[in-house]
Amino acid sequence: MSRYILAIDVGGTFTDVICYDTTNGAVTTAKVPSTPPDFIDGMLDGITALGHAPRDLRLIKIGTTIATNTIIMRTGAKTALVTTAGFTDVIHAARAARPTLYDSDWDPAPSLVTRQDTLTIGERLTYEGEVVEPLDEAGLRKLAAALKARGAEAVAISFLHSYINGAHERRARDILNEELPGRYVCVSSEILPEIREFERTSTTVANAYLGPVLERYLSALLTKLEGIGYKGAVLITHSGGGVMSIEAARRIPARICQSGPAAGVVAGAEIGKAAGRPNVIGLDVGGTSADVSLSKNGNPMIRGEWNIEFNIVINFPSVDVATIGAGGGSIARVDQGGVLKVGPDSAGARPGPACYGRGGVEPTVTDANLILGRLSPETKLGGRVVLRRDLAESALDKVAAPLGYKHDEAAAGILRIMRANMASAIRLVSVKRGHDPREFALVAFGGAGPLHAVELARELGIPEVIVPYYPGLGSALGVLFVEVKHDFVQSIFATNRKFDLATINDAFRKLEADGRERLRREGVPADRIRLTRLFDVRFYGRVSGGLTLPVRDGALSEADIHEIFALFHKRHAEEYGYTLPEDLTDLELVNARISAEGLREAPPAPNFPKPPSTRPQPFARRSVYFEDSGRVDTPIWRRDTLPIGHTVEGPAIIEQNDTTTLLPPGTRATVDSQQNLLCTIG
Amino acid sequence: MKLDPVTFEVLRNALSSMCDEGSEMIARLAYAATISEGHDHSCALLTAEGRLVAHGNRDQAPHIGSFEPSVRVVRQWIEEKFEPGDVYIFNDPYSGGTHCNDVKLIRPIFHKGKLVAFNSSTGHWPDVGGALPGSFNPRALDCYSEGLRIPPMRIFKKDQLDKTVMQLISFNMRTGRERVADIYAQHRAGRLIEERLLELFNRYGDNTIQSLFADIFDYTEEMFRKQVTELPDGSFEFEDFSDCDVMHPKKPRIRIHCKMTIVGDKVTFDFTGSDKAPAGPFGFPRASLETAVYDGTLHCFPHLAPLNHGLARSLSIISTPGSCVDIQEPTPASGYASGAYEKVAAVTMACWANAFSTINPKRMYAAGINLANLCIGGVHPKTGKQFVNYLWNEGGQGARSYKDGNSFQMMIFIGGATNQPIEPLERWYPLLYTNCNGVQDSCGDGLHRGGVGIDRSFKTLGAMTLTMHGDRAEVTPFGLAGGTNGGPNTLAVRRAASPETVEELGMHAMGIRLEPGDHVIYRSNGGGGFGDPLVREPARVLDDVANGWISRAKAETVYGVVLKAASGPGGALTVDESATSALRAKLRNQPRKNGYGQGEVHPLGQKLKAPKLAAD
Repeated sequence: MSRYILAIDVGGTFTDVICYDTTNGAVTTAKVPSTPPDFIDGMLDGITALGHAPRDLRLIKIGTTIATNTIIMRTGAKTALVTTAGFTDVIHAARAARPTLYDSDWDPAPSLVTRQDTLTIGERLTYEGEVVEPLDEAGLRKLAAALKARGAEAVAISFLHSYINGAHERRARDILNEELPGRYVCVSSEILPEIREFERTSTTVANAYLGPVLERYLSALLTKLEGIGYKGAVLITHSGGGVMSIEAARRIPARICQSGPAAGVVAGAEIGKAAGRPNVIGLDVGGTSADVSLSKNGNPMIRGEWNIEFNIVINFPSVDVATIGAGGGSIARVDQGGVLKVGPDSAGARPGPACYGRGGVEPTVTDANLILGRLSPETKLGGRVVLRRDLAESALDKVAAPLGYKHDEAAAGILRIMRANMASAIRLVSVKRGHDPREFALVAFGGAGPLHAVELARELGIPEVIVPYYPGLGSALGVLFVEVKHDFVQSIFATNRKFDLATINDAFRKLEADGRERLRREGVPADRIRLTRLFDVRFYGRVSGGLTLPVRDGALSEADIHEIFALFHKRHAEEYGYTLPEDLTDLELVNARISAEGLREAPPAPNFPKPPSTRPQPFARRSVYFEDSGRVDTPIWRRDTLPIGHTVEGPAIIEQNDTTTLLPPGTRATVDSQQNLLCTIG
Repeated sequence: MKLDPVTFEVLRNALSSMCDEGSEMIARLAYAATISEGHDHSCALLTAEGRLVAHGNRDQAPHIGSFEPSVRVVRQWIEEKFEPGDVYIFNDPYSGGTHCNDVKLIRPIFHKGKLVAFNSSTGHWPDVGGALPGSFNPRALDCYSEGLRIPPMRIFKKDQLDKTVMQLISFNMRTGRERVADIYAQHRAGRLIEERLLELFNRYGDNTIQSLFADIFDYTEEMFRKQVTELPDGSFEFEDFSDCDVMHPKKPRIRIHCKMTIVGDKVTFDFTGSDKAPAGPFGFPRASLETAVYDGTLHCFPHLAPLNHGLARSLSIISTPGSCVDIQEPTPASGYASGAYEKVAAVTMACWANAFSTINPKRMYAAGINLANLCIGGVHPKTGKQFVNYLWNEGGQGARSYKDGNSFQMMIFIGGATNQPIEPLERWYPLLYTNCNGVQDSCGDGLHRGGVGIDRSFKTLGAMTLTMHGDRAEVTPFGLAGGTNGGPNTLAVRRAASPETVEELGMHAMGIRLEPGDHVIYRSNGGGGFGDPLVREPARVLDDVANGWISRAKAETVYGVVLKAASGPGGALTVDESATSALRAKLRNQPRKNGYGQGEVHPLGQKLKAPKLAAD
């Protein structure tokens, strides 16, 4: 009987597997090294490590870094772009923006398609989709020969205004498919039918660039899974905080980018909900970076734009994750003016912090944590490494000496600056977008999250920190939780003065039919489909800004549409502090959207290994440095000795295999019924 | 430094990130497209004495140096006592810098009843009145035909908008009623800065924060002076020109001249060699001269950014009142950014390039694209509604001493701004674009070449009026160390009625009537080159040809690189080594022409020695 669901997160270094027993909620885990470049063997190692027969597995859900890696390492397919004649440089000019004001040395990330592989063809539509110039079909067939000569493995087709009329793009695809059988070809009007030529083209190019790589990956994956006797379904996680079928992943591989962090955010939201905290800020601190996110009422925040690198834009609705260069490996240094700086450069996994003894000589955040007694010298990394305090100290001299500081002072200074950087990132996802962090709980993930979270929460006035049972498995847990979900969009461009009810109703009907069909093909029964309608509304003449508003189901009447405009004014006044009267500016219904979700039979309710019931004792004590009280003899607890309901008072350190939780004096942690550590401040 | 170096770093970052937050809030809340889409806005924190402490990381450089003079004016001119919740509005160019479109809000911030700081923000309004839609008037003879000048006036009292002041403003400009949204956006950003700053005051105490302000200035000044000491003492001169005085096109070009002198840790910029202000708009007021010098300097000292008073007080700047870099009322100011600002920033960087050439030759940058303000207005044939819009172009960045300049960049002084997507433009305005592609061969050439400019030509689908206020159609972005000057900004029209002729409109076109079907040809500058083109590796020249950045003809005539195609159809190009050696030997004996136009070598730029730096 197939009873297990596997949730797998394939990261750059490790592959995490969570096995969920659908009969009793029991959870088991495995962590194995990842196996780049194809990552599949590592995944199979993880499955094997759990020891279940493949026939007992019902469903495998996978989150993988392969798409993100392929773009960052530039190992995708040789890709060509075919675009409207005269418009070669829409993709290469991007938005002509720079990340900082005073920096003449900066260069944009190289585009995924070279300029010589950007080819143009005669065709032109108006903004209303009327043909100004028909597609030059003969020219396109000639161009196909050039594509062949150039050795293009994948072709992205993106024409101006195709979001309103995709006929030229589709015809061009058919011709190229005839002329170049076996090439991966995708068109912008199907990948992202949204106005704004650069963003749509960039997303389509990224999709083509990933297409052949993901095609090979997914085929090999299915073959190998069949090879071990697995016959169940396979679903792939995407950046919108959902999963999709292999078939959909082949069609829109660019949606897989950033799916790991997105799944981590979903895990934070789910853990918060289960703990009765629907408003959470997620913090995942690893070796080189920290991911920060926000979920309100149990729902992760979604954004429409995402730069995988500056100028490489993938614009699907995605879980909003802010990443900053602050992690355990962040390097500290003293600048010419005698001021201490931390990050954004990192010692990474190789050579890693000085205390790893792998040749790192620069002082890092991890070295500072070790010196202050916050990390145990016995800390194991990947099962082996023991941290070397002597190496950490000599690295720290590089900043302590010029500052005239003792080691403790210098190390505490590094952590203070690291904390300030993380606090800025949290303000970025909260305050800047109108949320008060004091109304949220902080969920700490990653090897270094729980080490900094409680002090960070205190700095931001966040009252509670949740340390989940498996803080190192955030993304894998998220993969377990995410549901089948797809987003569909159709541009409308109606205004409050002029809208055609039939067009709007047709658009929603079509989007919903597409949504149902997609979910049906992915095996979701009709009674488990949930469709949510949304409208993007803006002041007429705006590109950015505006609001995404919910729309009721069924046939919409004129009154319904006017109600949406009224809602826009109300919400705009709330969020922006003003609205403008309709005699000054029109409102525009830009896009109709639907989000199509397949609901689970029963949401996973994981049961973690049975908690102990005996009264725990700290297993050791050591001297730990705290900012306000200096060195304190501090009890060290093992996480797995703490029974439900037990409270540990700070100062204390709680250690577990994949992380360390620091409780400064005046804070405490209680084990809740889900076995989270619920830390309270003040 | 009074604070410990850790507290200093934590708090300095906090000040900088609150300005980032404020600036992003302005973009998010504002209604004007120039602000919400064009990101032409800035947000800053100043001390109670009006000294600049911090600004947003992606703000607009021309605004940033105008914060100190603007707060100074409010402090000096306002007679009533400041109260919490007061906000002043102000846009006078002569006392505050830039032009009337840049409207500042200034908010005194109090802690425990004491004035402790100011917030100031700037937003570029799409129109502030005057003769022409958009308030750019290339033929203005005085500031009164450029728009409404607002002296410091209290526009919020106890955080309540003064409707009378608001009406005065909205009565005097096109789409004036909309500006209330932009005022609220800046007001909200000011409240955010106040809230954030008071959190710091409450947590760290008045003494610590006041020490922090002083420390920030000391830190920046000390870092700057230390690095200036490492540079050789001496005087370095550079000059650049505007194409013409628009009102007197036959007169000589307008000269911007700078003599930078370093003695020990002291730097003086002397602009007294610059020309008298022309009758038309080109020049800028003294406050903007200072800003442009800070801007050029920070590009060469990027680790000192963001700008603060510590750098400002470390530089001496000399100018002659009434000259083009120190205009007096009522000399027009609206065209300052495409006029004097670009030239002063570029000349400042060229002076620094001279000073750095032997010490840190990576700090040498040739000149890049010059702003060109194209404004169209008319009645949309489909909707019957009036429209006004600016169109601007990205273009080529100047070559760096160790690598090529990038193509398709916004002007050097612009932080967060972006180009304008074509699809929305075509939906809102009766335009049909014909191009968005690089202008081949528009780069200045050199060992490292400049970036290329862009062609964003369009056809009109309705009747409209066009105004252009730009520069660098003739005097193009200069190269350094033997690199050639980049390509021109160009504007021309091919009339539907007479398609066989192309009519040059130039950079100071005004009120040009366009009929449906007219084809406006609009191309931007390429950046200047760096070093001798004849020593650029042939493989890189080949790559440029393959990617279409330069033509095969240019590869031969300028770079001396001869290419040959492999046999067979579509055969790849390769370098013909022997023909290349021969051609380069021949070209070495032909001195390149000195001058200020495309393909020529700037006479002063040529004197710089190219350091031996490999391309990155």
